[in-house]
Amino acid sequence: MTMIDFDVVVIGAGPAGMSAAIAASDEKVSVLLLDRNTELGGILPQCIHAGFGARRFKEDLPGPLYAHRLIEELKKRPVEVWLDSFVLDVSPSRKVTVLSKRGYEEIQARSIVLAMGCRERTRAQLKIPGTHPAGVYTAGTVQRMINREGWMPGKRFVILGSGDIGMIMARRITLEGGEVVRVLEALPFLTGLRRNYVQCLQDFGIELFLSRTITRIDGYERVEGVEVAPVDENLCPDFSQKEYIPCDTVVLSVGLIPENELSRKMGVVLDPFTGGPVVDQYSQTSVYGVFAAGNVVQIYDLVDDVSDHGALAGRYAACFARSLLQWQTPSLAFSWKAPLRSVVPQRILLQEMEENGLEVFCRVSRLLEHECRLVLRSDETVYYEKKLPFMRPAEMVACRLDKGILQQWKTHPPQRLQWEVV
Amino acid sequence: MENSSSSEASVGSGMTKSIYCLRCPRGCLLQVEEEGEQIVVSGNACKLGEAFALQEIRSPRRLFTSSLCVRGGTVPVVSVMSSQPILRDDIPRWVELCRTLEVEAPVVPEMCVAKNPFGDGIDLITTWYVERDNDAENQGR
Repeated sequence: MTMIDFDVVVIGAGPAGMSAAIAASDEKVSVLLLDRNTELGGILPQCIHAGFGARRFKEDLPGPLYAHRLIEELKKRPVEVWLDSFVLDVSPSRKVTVLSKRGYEEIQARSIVLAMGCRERTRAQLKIPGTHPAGVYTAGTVQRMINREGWMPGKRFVILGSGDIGMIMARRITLEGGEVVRVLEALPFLTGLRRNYVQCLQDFGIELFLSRTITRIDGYERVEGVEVAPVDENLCPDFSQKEYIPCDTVVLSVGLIPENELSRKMGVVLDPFTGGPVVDQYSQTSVYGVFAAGNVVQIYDLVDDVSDHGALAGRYAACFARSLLQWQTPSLAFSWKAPLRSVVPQRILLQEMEENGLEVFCRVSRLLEHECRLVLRSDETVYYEKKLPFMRPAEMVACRLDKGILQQWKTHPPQRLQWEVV
Repeated sequence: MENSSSSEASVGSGMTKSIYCLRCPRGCLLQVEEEGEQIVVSGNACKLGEAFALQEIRSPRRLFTSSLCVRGGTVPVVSVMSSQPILRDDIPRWVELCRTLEVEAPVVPEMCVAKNPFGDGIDLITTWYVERDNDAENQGR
C-alpha cells in the first residue's frame, strides 16, 4: 500500500472544515479535505432557513447558499477534496486511515484539523419513560426528511426543547401542512435564540410552554400520545398537573454533543463541560500537531463563529506543517467559577510569534437577567473586564484579549487565571 | 415567553410596544413608542434596529425559504428562497406557489424559478444544487 503525503488533512467538510481547508491552502501548503458524505457543506444544505452569514458575508443567507459561498471559495484553491471517504482511524503520529470506494488508504499528514462537528442528543440520553414506538425523532432528522428527502414524517407533532432547530422545524412543519400541538421546554427559559422564537413561533401563533416536559411516550407501533407535566426548578415533574396530548410524532430538540469518537481514540484530552477537546488559542489539542475547529470543540451559536474558528485552526495547522512555530512552550490554563459553564480556549500558549490577541468564548449555565461583570483575574490583578446587560445560556459571550496582555504574561506569568462573573 | 414580553410591553405609556429585533442574532429588545405620526425606537444597539422597528410596526417582512419538487434529480427536492424579504402576510401565498411549482434537474444555486410571481419585484430563487440522475432515466427506458 502506498502512503500518501499531505501537509494538512482536514476531517469533515462542514463550515469549519471548509474554512480550515481554505485558510490552510492560503498558507501555501498541500491540503486534503475529507468527508464521509457525498457532498460538501456538512449540515448546511438541510438548514434551508435564513439567518446565516450576517457577519462573514454581510447578507442574510439560507444555509445551502452559505455553504455554496464557501464551496466557491474552496474551488478557487488547490485543495484536494475526497468525498464519500470515511476516516477509520487517526494515529497520534498523524497517520490517517481512510475507507472509500477506492478501498483502504493511509495518509501521512504533517498536521490534522478535526472538524467533525456534532450530533444531536436523542431520547436515550433524556431517558423519557414509556414505550418505544416509531415516530420519535430528533429535530435534525425531521429537518432532513422534510428539506432533503421530501416527505412528512407525521401529522400531529409535539416538540420537546426550545433549541433553534426545534423552533425552526415548528415553522417548517406548520408551513408544510403539519400541526404543531405543543412546543415544550423543561427549563424555565428559552434555550434557542430569541429571533427564532419571534419568527418561528410567535409569527405562526405556536405557543411555547416553559418548565414543562414529556413524562411518558405512549403508543404501540406508532406514537399515539404523550403525557406532559410541569416541572419544578430541579426538573422534577409534578404529576398532579399532568395532561395527556394525543399526537403521532415527537420531535426532540434538546441540545447537541460534539462528535469526538476519533479524538477519543487518538487520546485527545476532552473538556467534560464542552464535550470537545481542550484547545489553546491556536486550536491545537493536547495531541501534538492535531488541531480542532468548530462544533467539535464546543457548540457555537452562529455559523460565522464556526467558520472563523475553522479558519484560525486551518491557518495554524498550516504554520505547524511548515514548522514555523515551536509548540512545546509551557502553557497557561484558564479556570472559571460558576455560573460560568465553559471557557474556550482552555489553555494559552505563550511563545515568540506575531500575536493578534485572542478571542475567548464564555458560556453561563443559568440565566442572569441583571447587569453582570465578566472578569479575568489572577488573585488581585484584573486583566480583563466586560460589562454585560445580561448573560444567557443560549448566548455565548465573546471576549477579545489584546496583544498587550499576552506580552505581559510572557514576562510576568500569572499564578493562576480565573474567569468570574460578579 | 408570551407573558414576559407582554408584561414588558405594558411598562411605560400605553403606546409602547416591545419587539425583538431580528436583524442579527444579538436580538435586541426594542421599545417602540408611537406618538401620532412619530415613532421613537429605543433599546437598539445599532442603526439596523431602528429601521427594523419602523418596518416591523408598519409592515413586517420576512425572508421566505421553502423547497420545491425536482423532476429527474438525484434528490426529490431543492431548497428555495425569496430574493428579498416578503410581507409576513404573504407567506401563505408563497407556500401555495411552492406547492405548485416543479423544476427540472439539473439545478444550480441562485437560479430564478419564478420571476416576480406576485408583482412586487421579488423572485423565487434556488439555493442548492441538484444533479441530474442519469441512472434513474436509463432504468426508466
